[in-house]
Amino acid sequence: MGLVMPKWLSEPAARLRATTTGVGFILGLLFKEVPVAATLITLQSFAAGATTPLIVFAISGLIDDVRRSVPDLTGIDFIDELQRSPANPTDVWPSIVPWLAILLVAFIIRSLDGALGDYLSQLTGLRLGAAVQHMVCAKAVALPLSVFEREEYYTKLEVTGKEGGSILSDFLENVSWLVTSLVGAAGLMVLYFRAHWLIGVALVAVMGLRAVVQSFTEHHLLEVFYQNSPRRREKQYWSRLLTSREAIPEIRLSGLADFLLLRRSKVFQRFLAEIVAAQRKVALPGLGSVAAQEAVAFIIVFALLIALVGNITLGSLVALLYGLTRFRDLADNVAWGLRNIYEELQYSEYLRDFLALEAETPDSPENGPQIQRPLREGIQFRDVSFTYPGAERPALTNINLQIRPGERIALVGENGAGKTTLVRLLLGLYRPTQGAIFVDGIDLSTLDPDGWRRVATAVFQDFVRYPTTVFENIAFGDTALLAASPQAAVATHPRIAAAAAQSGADGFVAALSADYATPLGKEWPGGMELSSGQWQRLALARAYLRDAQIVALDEPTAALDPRAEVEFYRQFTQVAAGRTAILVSHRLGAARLGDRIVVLAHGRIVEEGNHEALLHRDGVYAHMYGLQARWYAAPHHAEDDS
Amino acid sequence: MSSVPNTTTGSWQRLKYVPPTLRLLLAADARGTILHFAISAGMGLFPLAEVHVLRRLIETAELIVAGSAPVADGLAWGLALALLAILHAAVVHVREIVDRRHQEVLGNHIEEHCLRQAQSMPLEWFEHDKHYDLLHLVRRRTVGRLGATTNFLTRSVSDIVTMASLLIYLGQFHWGLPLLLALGTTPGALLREFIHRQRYLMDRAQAPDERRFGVYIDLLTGRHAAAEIRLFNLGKWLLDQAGQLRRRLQKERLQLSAREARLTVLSDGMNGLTHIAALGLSVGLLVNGHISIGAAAALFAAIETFQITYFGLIWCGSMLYNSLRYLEDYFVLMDNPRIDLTAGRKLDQTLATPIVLDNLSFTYPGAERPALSNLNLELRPGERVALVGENGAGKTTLVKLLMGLYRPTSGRILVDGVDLSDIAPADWHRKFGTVFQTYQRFQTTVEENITFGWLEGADDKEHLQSVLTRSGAHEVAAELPQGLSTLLGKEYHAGAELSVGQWQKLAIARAYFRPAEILILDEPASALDAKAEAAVYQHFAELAHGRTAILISHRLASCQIAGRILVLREGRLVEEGTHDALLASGGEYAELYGLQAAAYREEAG
Repeated sequence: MGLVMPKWLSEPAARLRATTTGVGFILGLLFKEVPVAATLITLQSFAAGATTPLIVFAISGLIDDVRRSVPDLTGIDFIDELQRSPANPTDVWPSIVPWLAILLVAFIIRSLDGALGDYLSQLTGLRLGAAVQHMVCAKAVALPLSVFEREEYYTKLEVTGKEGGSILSDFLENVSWLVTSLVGAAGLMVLYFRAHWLIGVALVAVMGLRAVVQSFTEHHLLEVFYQNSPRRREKQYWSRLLTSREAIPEIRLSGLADFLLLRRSKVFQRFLAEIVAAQRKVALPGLGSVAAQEAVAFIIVFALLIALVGNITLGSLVALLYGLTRFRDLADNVAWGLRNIYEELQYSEYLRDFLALEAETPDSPENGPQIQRPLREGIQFRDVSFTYPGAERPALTNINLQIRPGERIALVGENGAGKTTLVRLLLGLYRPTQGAIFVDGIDLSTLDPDGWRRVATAVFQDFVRYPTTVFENIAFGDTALLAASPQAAVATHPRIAAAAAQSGADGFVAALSADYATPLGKEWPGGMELSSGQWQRLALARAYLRDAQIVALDEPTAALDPRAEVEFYRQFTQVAAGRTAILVSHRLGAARLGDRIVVLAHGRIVEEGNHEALLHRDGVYAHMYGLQARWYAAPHHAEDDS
Repeated sequence: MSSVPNTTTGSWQRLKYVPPTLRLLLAADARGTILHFAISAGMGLFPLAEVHVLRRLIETAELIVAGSAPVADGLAWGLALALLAILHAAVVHVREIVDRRHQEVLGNHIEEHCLRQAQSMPLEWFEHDKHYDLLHLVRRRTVGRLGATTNFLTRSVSDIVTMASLLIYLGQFHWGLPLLLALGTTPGALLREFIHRQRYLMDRAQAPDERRFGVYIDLLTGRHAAAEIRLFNLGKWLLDQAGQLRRRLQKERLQLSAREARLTVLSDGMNGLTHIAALGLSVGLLVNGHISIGAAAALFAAIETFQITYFGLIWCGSMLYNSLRYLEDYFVLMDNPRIDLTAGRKLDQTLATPIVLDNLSFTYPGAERPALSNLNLELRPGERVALVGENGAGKTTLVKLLMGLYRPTSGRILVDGVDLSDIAPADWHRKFGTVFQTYQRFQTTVEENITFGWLEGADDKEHLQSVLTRSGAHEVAAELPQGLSTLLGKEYHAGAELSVGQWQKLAIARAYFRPAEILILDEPASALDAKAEAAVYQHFAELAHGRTAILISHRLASCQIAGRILVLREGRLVEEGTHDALLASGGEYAELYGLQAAAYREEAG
């Protein structure tokens, strides 16, 4: 499952390649999305990096100058010195002022750097976050529908954090932080190399050690983070459920709240235990590397003291010691910067991994075959089988079905027989695992999926209740209408009104506070809630809006009241006129609307024919029909059953 | 009453949230909080110790140069410096672990309590869009804030320790030094408070749009809308909408950032000047021979640390105050009236007399017209009632009122002569087994999808088996690889997916699983195949025997199994009677029945 985590230590070459790719990816993204800010951050990081050695340099010079002009100044306790009479100060200031000026410049650079840095980092954060989110969403809608059947997709989606692009935006900041610290450290190194090359070498070695340990630590923590994605999602799932307007009534009535809260809490506790364990595990190596660094610092102090016997000035010594504490800070900074960069690289890997998911494209995308309107030969299923990803048994097995242009097919069968799956295959939303579907003799998988779907329209059984306006809920059937400018102007667009009238939505829409402009869903300002049947009528209007060759209606009347249902049947004849229509229904009275009834059972076609023929055959269909019809055929009293 | 916090809460008034915040910290994670404080107080001493040891090291070095001290003395101080640093690093590591845990625990605590609160607020609360803004603010902004509060609190403790020690230290050199640093640094730090306030106001203002944005993202990346988005090619439009919204939100944020940047330059500039002035003062002390070079070096370090700490302290204070702003949202949410589901009259016995709906009316909060008007009705124990009517007639609302999920706007419901609002809700809820029209699809095992109906009976396998058979759910389970223990849904595990009808069978099983006195089936067969539908009606008749049962259905044939049929139109009861009586009366019911039956009459084919 999931990402293959490269073994950091055992595959350094692969790791290096991955790192280079990651850095390239992030930099590419940065300079594409925020070129100016990215350039400024880069420049600024060098300027800021220069300030530390500048300050050390100035302080060192300052002290040496003071010392030169006050030759008899020796290191006695400062309390004694306070009691001393001042030496001749006037000679000293001229040589000191330039040092102070340098310090002033350094501080000004720092302060500008701080303000500009904050702004730039927020800017890149927002921009990059947006860009990444856009990429993720654009990718998600381009994926084949079957991807949503894989748990893997949800893990990949979750670790990209949806809005986690802002993590990447800190990359330059962290690189700049790292560069600043490294430049600072390099400046210090020069000072130390001047004292003795061994000191420099030792410091470099220690920094290297910390870097290695840090990356090991981060790798482990991130692995645990990735592995815990299902737990985070489970916790999120229960949390969402417990505040969902739809779920709360059932939860409350069944007294489920405490139980679900406990379950959520258990998931959290498991997640927490793993995180803490992972942190404990990496604490010791981290501390070890710090200890190593301090040991080296101690040796350096020792070496400096030995060197004191030689020619080193006290001013230099003080500067070097000050520098050593600075070096410790810088080493911490480097470790911290590396840790963040590592995290960002890992994140970029998650992101690239998500973006690498294969988009839905036809087998021959360029100038592929086109569908003629109207269809000439119709649609043919040739030995089509389909198994959902991860499922054990097929949803459809060896389906052979010819649908002629203009034909009306009723698809019936028990729950789970494969009716919805067949419709989705027909719409090109899934691809057959075996066999092929031909449209006018062209293999459906070679057609541009969008182009093919433009020819079709559908009401899904699980239609979406978009928390948008009524207008949009209908206009989603034809995006051309959405694109048409101001919403108010098109709200009463004749086509919208016609579709609403056809689906029977016009009645209740007129009663809403703002007609077609009414937002739907109580969660939104001015939002209204609709009943299930009203929602279904909007879904119908959405489907009717589209001028399509093929109409697929999956249980379109499940929630409709009797009048609306009958109205639907009346409209169906009109809607299906000149089109190929597929009607999935458990209302077998409605199945008679089909020129042909296709009966599915356990993923296979078991019967086929018109209503009379199937009744005559006295098979599955006749039995099902009988079950429903008897209610209407003979009076059936409650008392009879008791 | 408005549950949305008031932005005009006076600045000082907000301080009243300090004690509850502290209580909240201790309630959520007492150990972590105390540990945090202890570690931070200890860490506050490190800077002073480091400055002191450094100074002694340099002084010793000077003595060594002068030949008046052995090299070993210098080594001792060097070692001390190294040990101090290692100790410091160790404490930082420990704090990191403590902190991570603490943050997670606090965040979880707040979220859990929000969820808990949501479980006990009246359902009407969920009818206001502003309330979703509040929930969003708390979950998005406050959840992470409490953890940060401990950080700021403890950091200010350690900063105070550091500052006090450095204050004494600096004062030894010159009293003007700390004063200069404090005066120069304060205005800059206070500017931050202004920025924080602006940010908070923006968070509030953007909450509805952020929620809207979240909807677009969920539609685009989620499973639910994936098929329609592909069919209708909605991806581009949704991406555009999300993009436009994001650009607007971003623009506002960036304008604020630019203002912040200008203020930061001002504040940092003042800090820099102050720092230079302090350095100048120390150089003066050095030049005039007041202090040694070693002391001067230590002084330089102390000045930097003091200034950073002082600035940090004020900043912390401002951040703490800022946390109160966000925590206020949480406290306001938690202050919403709760229903104690167990408070009220107990209801142990089975119902002896009819449930009386007395002139019942209900209007959804914010709605213009009532969903139910002046309904008068008696439901006798053991009676089977069918509720029919057009979409939006108020059928679902009526049963929700009956279940006590909503309270009537006027009129009342009498249970054995007692007003329902006086009865303990939990006791009342226990009487119902319900298939909701918008039933839940729990992302867990098949078995739990059923036992969730009655947790107390989850271990009763025999009961489960009988329910499975009666509801047709056994067929669903039989198709699945691990039968009853098959996980369902893809949200957080690689579960199996069911068809709509199969889910509905589980929902029916869930309702049947509950040993309820009143059975409510709200369009239970909408997605069922003919066989399952017939079975539902048959079992409904069996199950309902001896129970009160209410069936909402658009399949009018099924109403024949009911002893009485109620026809609702626009929230009013318009017809009432048996199937035969209503057919005979030739009213709305008869008309609708005729329409449906036509589809099954042979001559209609």
